Amino acid sequence: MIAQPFNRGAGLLLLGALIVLGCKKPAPPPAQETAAPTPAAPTGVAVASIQLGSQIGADKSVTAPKSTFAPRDTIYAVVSTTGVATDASLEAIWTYVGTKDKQINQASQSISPTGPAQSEFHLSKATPWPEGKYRVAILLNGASAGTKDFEVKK
Amino acid sequence: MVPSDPDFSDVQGGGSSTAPSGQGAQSYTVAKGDTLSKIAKQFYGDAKQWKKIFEANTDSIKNPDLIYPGQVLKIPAA
Repeated sequence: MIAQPFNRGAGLLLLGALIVLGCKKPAPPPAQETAAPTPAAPTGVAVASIQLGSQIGADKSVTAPKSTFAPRDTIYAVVSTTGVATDASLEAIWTYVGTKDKQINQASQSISPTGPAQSEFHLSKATPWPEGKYRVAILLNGASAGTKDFEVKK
Repeated sequence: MVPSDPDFSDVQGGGSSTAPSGQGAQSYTVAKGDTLSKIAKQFYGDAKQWKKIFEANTDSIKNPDLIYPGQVLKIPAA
């Protein structure tokens, strides 16, 4: 057997390569996929607008906005809300504004909106409405969220 | 001429929403001619559910046959 001459240069190169490889930092573990922080879901509901009218559509928005009604009209107050809630209370207090205010109706509803919503309150009367000035006050979770004045005229 | 104290006993009110109903009770103001059965029919579609309304309002209704215009009733969720 013929011994091959030892190539010292090649040996050094091989040794150097092994040292470099041996010192190489282990690859970092794959980064875990972390969900981007999602903004907290808005909580609570706010009243965006209150609109009066004598007719509403299927989406409960006012189709005939009015602030002066005829004595035979049904009066609608549509409350537009934004936000979400598991249980919010909307209340309408209707008042006849005469020589002294007289509350004529109060209605409330409990809603669980998951986004913008329209809630209507309506008022009708078997006999004609007395002419005069009226007001509807809207309360959200017991706190005043706005009022609207209107009038009944022949 | 508007009477000084107009009669609103025949006023009927209510409400609805595009939002799902919450878990709380609604309220309803009794109008002239209302009965608990009529109100139950209006809210639940079933007049026989009048007892549910009666039981939620025992503090203000002593006799289920006697409710008054202007009385505000709690209407429990269906």
